[in-house]
Amino acid sequence: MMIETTTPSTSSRRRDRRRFPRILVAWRCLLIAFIGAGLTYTWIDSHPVTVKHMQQLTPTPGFMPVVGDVHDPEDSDPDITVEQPLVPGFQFQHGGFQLSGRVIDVQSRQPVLSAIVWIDMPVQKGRPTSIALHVVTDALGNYQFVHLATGIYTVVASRYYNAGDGRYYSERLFSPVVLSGNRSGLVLPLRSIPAPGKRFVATGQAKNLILVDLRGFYANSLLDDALLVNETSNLRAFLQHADVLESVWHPYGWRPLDQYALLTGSYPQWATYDTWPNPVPWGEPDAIDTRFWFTGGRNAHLFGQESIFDVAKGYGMQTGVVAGADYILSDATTRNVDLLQRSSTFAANRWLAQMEDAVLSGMQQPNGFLLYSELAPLAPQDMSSSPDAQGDEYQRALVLADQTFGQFIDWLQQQGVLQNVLIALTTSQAQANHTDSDNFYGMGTVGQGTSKQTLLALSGPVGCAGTVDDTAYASFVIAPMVMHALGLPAPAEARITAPRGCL
Amino acid sequence: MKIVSGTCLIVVFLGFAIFLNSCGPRSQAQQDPRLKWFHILSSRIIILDNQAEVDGTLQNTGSERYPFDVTIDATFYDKAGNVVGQAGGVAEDVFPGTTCAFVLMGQVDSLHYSHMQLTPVSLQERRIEKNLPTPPPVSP
Repeated sequence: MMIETTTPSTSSRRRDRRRFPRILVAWRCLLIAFIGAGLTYTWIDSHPVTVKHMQQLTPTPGFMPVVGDVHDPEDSDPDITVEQPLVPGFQFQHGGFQLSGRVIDVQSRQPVLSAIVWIDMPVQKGRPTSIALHVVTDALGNYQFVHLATGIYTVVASRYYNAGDGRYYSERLFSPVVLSGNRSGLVLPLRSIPAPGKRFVATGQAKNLILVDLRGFYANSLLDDALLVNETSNLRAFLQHADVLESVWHPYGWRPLDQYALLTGSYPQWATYDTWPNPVPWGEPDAIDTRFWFTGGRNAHLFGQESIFDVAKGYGMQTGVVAGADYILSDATTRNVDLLQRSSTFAANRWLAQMEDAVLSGMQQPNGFLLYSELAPLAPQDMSSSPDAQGDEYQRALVLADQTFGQFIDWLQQQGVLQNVLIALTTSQAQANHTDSDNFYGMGTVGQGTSKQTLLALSGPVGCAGTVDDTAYASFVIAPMVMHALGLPAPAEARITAPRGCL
Repeated sequence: MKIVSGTCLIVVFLGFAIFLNSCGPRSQAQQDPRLKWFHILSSRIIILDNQAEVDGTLQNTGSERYPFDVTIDATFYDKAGNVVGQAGGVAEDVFPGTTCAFVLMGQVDSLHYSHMQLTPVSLQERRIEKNLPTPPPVSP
């Protein structure tokens, strides 16, 4: 028997030789695994499995109209489509009927794309209405409402977007539609109005507009109150060189509604009860449905009237808003607004900076600019402060508003832009908060209450400075007047025309 | 032997690199070509202090029968072209031929904001609805 003897070093080398193939195999396996995994993932990634989930048909339960659907936003109702209060009370989650058709141009008979169509229940005095339901037409002008309850519907359509064809379509209220089953083919013809995207500014005409809304203050504080002369020196100096309508009356005395009237010259009469042209005095029951403004959310504020922003944008102007945090977000206050800047609290320096930036930017625009601003240093919690309380919040805020306005006018003068700018000053929401300070200056000449009184002062390159018109006007007059002064048409649904005046 | 083992190591690292690369994020070159079907028709910015909300409408000009969830990014600039904020959001279930509203939320330096740029960036399904067909994922 031969015994093999080896030295330790020789034995180790042999062991390494035996191990090396094993390590190599392991490395190769690992390599193959990595490469394989990488290639497989790459292949799968480049050849996705196109699993197409086809529409699943869900069984449709029987159509069961629920009593109170139209007026029960607070109740839990399983038939309502989405969470309240954004749901129209007449739409169901399943079942119901369809209403469909087309929107066309009344002259060319061509389909109108991107038009908005609303349906709603007819308005009744003293009863809260449902929130309207709206859809947008497709490229062929088609629209469709689904899951509707039986009933009579108000149908409205308009389009205040320029879809590239240089035109808008003004709002049209159609005859009520009776729905007792599926209905299709309802054609809604709309009339076009020009939105050419550019404008011609006549010699001496204002190219730009700055509309300042002095919010929370009485017009009388600027016009008649001898005790507030020192607090309003800049504002009164402006009024002395402006054309002033000093007896303008808000229809409602509450800002969300009045601001809508200010910016559109109108009001969604089809959507809510409306006392105009016979408004009731401030503080008395008016049966006006204010649900939209309280609880409706963004969708509820789609009404379809043309605003001064729509008009301005339709003629190529730059549009902007500088406002407080509680500026109502509706289609009239945001649509066709290039830049809306809101601030939670009023700060004079920031307000001035925002206004100056907007003006400097707007001056670069070939078609001019329209800038609407709330000048509102009186905080909501101080709205009950009395105008005659020496040094109280009302007076302090009025002084701040006066100084800020004066600084802004001075800056405009320094910039040399006043010859191109029409400045409009108005007031709103004068302590309309049901406190002892409401109607502080009495009921006024028309008996509506001085909380509803405002003014319109216009100062521009052309006009008759220092004129005062004491004729009583509804504040619906403001939008047509400022547009007229710019040489532009009034908002399409404005209720009254601009009076013949100096501008 | 050293040469063999060194070569093996290099090959292993190469394989590992291929693997990692295949698992990595999609490159810009692989952007969904269907994004070109989507056109932003209108947009407006609403600022509250430094919060920015962009409201707008988007149109699907494509013909595929699926509704798409379109992710949109907004970038805000100052006068000099510097970025002063961003916002993002999704227009959900935009069917072919239809126009859909969207809301983007973000932050902006409101005192320096000048203009914005909106870009559809993804068609990835954000919320799968039970009763709507789901479009296939993007093919490069």
